[in-house]
Amino acid sequence: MEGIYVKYVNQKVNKIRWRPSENPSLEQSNTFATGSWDDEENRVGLWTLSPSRRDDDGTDVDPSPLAVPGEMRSLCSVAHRGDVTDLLYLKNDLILAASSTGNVTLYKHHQRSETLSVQISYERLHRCPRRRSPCTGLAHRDGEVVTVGEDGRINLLDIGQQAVVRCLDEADSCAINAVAYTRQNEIAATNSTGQLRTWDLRQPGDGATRNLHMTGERLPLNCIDRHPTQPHVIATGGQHGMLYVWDLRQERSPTLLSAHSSDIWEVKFHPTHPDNLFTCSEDGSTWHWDASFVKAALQAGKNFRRFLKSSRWLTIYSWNSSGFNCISVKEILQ
Amino acid sequence: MQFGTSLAARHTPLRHLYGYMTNMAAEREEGNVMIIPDAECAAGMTVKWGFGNKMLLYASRGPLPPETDKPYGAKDVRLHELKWDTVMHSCLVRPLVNESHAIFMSLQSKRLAVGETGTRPELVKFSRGYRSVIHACILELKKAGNSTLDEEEAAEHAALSCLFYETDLVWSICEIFFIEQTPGGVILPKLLEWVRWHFHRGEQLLQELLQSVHDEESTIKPELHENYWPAVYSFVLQGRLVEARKLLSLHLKYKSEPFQSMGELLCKMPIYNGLTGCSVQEFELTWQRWQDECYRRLEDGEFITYKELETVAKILCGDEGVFVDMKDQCETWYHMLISRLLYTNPAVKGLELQYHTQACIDAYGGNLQLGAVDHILLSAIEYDVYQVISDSSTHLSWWFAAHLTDLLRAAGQLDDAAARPAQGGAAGACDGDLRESLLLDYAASLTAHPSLWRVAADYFDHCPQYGRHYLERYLERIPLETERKAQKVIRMCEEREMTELASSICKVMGMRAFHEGQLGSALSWCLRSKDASFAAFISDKFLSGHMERGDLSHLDMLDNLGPSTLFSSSLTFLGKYREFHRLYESNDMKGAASLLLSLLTCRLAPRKFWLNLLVDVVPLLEMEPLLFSSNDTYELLHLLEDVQTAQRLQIEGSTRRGIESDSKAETRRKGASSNVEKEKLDLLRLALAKNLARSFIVEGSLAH
Amino acid sequence: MFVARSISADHKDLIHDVAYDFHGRRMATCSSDQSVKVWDLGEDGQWHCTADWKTHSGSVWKVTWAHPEFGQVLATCSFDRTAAVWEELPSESTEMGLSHWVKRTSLVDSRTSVTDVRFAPRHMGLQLATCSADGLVRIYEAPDVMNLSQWQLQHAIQCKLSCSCLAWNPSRVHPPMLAVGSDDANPSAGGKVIIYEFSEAQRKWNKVETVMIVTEPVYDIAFAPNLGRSYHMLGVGSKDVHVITLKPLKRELAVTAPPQGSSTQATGMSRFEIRQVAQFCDHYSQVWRISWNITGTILASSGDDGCVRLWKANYLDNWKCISVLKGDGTRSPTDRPGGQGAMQTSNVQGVGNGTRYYKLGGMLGQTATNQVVWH
Repeated sequence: MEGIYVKYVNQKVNKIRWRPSENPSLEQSNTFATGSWDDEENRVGLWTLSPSRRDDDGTDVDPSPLAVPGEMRSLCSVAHRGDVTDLLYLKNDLILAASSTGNVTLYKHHQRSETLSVQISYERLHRCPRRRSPCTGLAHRDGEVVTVGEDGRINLLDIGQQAVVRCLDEADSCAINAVAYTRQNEIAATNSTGQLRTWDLRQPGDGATRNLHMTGERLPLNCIDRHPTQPHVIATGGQHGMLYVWDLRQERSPTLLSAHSSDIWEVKFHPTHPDNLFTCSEDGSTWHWDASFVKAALQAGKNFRRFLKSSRWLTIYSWNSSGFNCISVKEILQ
Repeated sequence: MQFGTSLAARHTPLRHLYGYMTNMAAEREEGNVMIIPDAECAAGMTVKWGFGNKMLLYASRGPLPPETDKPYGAKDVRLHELKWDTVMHSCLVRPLVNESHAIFMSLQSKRLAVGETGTRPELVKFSRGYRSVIHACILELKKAGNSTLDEEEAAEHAALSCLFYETDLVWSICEIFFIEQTPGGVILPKLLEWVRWHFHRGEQLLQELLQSVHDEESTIKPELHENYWPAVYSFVLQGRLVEARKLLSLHLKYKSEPFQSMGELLCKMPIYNGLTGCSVQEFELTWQRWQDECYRRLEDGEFITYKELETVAKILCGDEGVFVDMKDQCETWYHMLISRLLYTNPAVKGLELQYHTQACIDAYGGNLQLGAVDHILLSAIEYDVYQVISDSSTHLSWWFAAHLTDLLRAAGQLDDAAARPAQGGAAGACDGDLRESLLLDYAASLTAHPSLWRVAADYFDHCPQYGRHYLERYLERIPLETERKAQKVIRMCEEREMTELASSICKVMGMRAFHEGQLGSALSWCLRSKDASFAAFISDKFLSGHMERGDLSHLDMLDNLGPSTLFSSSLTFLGKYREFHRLYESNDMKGAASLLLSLLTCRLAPRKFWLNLLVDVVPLLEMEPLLFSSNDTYELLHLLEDVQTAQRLQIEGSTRRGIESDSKAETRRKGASSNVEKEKLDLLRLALAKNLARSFIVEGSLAH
Repeated sequence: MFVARSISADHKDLIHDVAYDFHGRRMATCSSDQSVKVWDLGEDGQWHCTADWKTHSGSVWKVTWAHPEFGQVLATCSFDRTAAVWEELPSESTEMGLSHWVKRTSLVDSRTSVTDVRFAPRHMGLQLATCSADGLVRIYEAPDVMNLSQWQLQHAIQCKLSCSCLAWNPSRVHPPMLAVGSDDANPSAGGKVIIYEFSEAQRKWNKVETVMIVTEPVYDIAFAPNLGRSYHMLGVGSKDVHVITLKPLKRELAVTAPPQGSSTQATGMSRFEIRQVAQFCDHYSQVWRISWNITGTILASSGDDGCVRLWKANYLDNWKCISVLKGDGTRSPTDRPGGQGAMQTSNVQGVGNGTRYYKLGGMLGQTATNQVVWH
């Protein structure tokens, strides 16, 4: 955490994702994608971060001599219909964006010309009888993509075939807010009534294989992430700043961690250092958790937390596949 | 001037719709007529306000006399939707909105910390912060203006950057007069800085000169270039004597006596900066000595061989006549004012400035030629804070007026009590506060933009009197496309304890989901709204679904209602009824029977559902061992009677209505369904009778 | 920088009223052609007509939306002596993008043209007030807010003067209040704006004030939204535009004045200090309609001079005209700019649905000439 770099951009950023680097162990990605929301015209954009001095090791750095370490520069952007509700890097030049219009669009980043173009557009994957319904989350594994939406529907897409493979039209009675793969053919999703449910995609029917729910008042769960090495450990963030850690092997209520003072919008395990967990919240703070206690906590049911840094920043955190670069976006700051 | 030509085509949107508090002829309504190109509207039209900055116009005619109706024969009826993109809605201005918001917020927190008035140096920092934001915005606009090929867009950018240039011009002079403290009250050094910051004529002339000299080195001598002397004058007029001397040194005859003499004068000119520890009186003495020297050398004819040098000398002597000739170099009356004062009254106090303005204004064609910005500057020079604010809210932007006023209030420059009698409010009912009213207007202009409501909310939060009401009014009207946005808005309501509004938003979301056929979502919003009548409505829909299809839908939700159902008896019933199904399915007949009985006896269910509950009893009555005691059975029989009586009444009622409404099919359908029901009831009666008999036997044997 | 778009309304005669819904994403229009249209703002940012049906057998005077908490509900009133409540059918799979509206109830109590219909503010539940040319104001209520076909006539108030318009006071803290305007042409009939207040104790509506300032016929009346003001503000369109404030007098004061047991004290009615804060005569002889903006800071009025005028008060309650809008048939929106003061056509994009765009640059030239360039 060597410094905070601030850039005002003229949009409200809803999602932010680092581009996966070709070789995560050697190089750190310095490119990230953003998706905006709540504007007359929303955009998906790519940005580059001038490497901090520490990384000046002869790799291909920004040729511009004027580049200030930590300076964020826009590479390109493209208009996007509706709010960008989720972003997903499928490959390092393919970005999948979910929209509040119920569409899902695949963008290709042409690195030579620094442009973004629409590769595939899936129209109205999520819908109500009369209205479009927002797509709220994306997850992918081995060329398959799962989309979830406020209409309670789950779609399975085969990106290679450009086809919708399967629709679970009545997967949930209310809005599904986020989805993650737990293992091959199994997904977990959170909904607006505080449930964590899993589906085995090989099974017929729309019904979930498992329903887990919290005790007490059923508050919406906004986001989900799976532990990178222990697929049965699921972290979800919800209303009132609660972080829940679930153990899919056990049919019991999740471990509850009181954290932020307002909605948690995103929760992420560090992909290669899974003992680090990050959350960001409506209250404007981003928390870095020591998740090595997760196991102990799951066993003992004890609370754990380590407060690393709080800022008045809001909304989004994204991880870099190596190292702890962290970008938060303050709604007002844009 | 860098923006010179673009001014003619400038758009300043705010000045039209928001033009108020002004006493200038230019802003009288004749100047604000807008034409709607529509033939039907030519004979009259009406407007209806919408949300934010929108309104709808449509052709209309005068009211008809009471009790008359006639066709108007209007053709091609059109609706005209008007909105005024306020300045702040431009994409390039967004960073200005957001960055200045950050400064505003930190200023508010400072004020909370140190009380009403902060210390001056700190406020100057805030003021500079705002100005640097303006500056960054101008740069962005210029960059965009240069890169676009679209003429209209370029003109728009030029107009906007011109607006912000004026904003900075006014802001910086206000900073000098109202926020900064000047040592010894000598204001001129600051004003010189101001002039140098905003007027770059000298540099421009010099640059052109150097360019052409470099291009055609051999042919043109610098001193012969048409820009040479104007550049010298410009530098001298701005008190940039080092630059002036450097430029003079380029002259071929620099080594000659007159040039050397001038160089010496320029070098020796005393400058007051308030830091060297010399008092104003001391400074005035040295100044007088220096100017006497200038005057002497001019009188002695030292510069007579070069009339341009003589002009410079006249400037140094503060010669009244020469300044009129310097009209082009000064460009504006206020530049001239400062240049003149520099050489006539360098220790002038801020308050005395206003007595020197008229001559300069006259040099530029008199008061009639004054524009809006001139009037604002004039008011600033007259230390009339209120006039500055009121005029700039009309002519610059709400952004400017609101932020400056807020800063001035922090600096203790505004005392509303003093303003009121001067303006003579007509209505006794008014309870106005200038800062708040401007902040409200600014925040309201932000809410008209679809995504700036979050920023606006923070401004509303800092308007103690009306802010909350405004915010509430906007929050309840924000279009909610996604649940997440709804959640954010509800969160904002909760943080401000607007519980009633939060509940209303949940109800609106629930109602919308219901209309889209998403009963599950509707129920989840209903739970969040905590509204009992809405809950009754939704749970009723679930039960009617059950009555139509014979099973409950959305089981994943009903199984997981949680404790939140307790706020409404209808939801409690729904949850319990689902629990009964679960018990029944898991073969816990005893549990199922007692739950069903308690559901029936506590009369929690809506009346129309009683029959369904009774029918659910039938299979349980036939179970072994006995599930209902004789007392239970009596209770059930009572209920059965109730249901039947109600049914009879209803049938009678509906047949009567059926005759009236003439819908025989309806009556017939009802009759048919009541036949089915009658069969069900007979079945139930029989089952109850059997159960009663069995219970007597069981109970009798137990008694023995 | 007024950016405007022009939409072909496709009504066969004049539009009498337009109403935006609560979130500004829908609007309803009603017309002399006896029909109502509902328009939805599409994702493309355009208005699309999604419903169009014949509602009455006479001119439809007014259309108004209920709060979205009660669903998608409209009320209309007409020359045919009825008012009606309409509801959009939930999610019935009709042709994509179109919706069906059904008549939930027809209010047929009036014997003359129903001139205005207004839903009460949300906090009062589902109530509807109508007024008619026979001088009666009727208050209906749907006791079950979820059942829109059951409306009960709760109160009928005899105004004795032909009524042309009415307005609910939106204030949540004040007892329910209605202002009624009359278009009775006889000046000797007295004040043409009457204020009624609901007495919880008596369960009835009482006349509390007659605004004597306005004796000319009144054609439109509207309360400004009360955003924390200590007084109510009423816009009145009559011969002139009037802005009137009603400041509730403190209960103690009202009680001390009349002797013990007087009606004021018994009914607990509030009295008001009525003031006229502004009066504008710029519309020559008649003001037709008025409309407040969302914060109640700008009042728009239209009248016989064919213009729409916008009025704004500063923080000291000084009212000024800030803009005038004028129709002109000699210029069509597709004209090219003909010099300063003409409007400019901007690129027409995504035209469908008879939408045309144009920028109104009319005012730019004029200010530029009036205003001396400052340098």
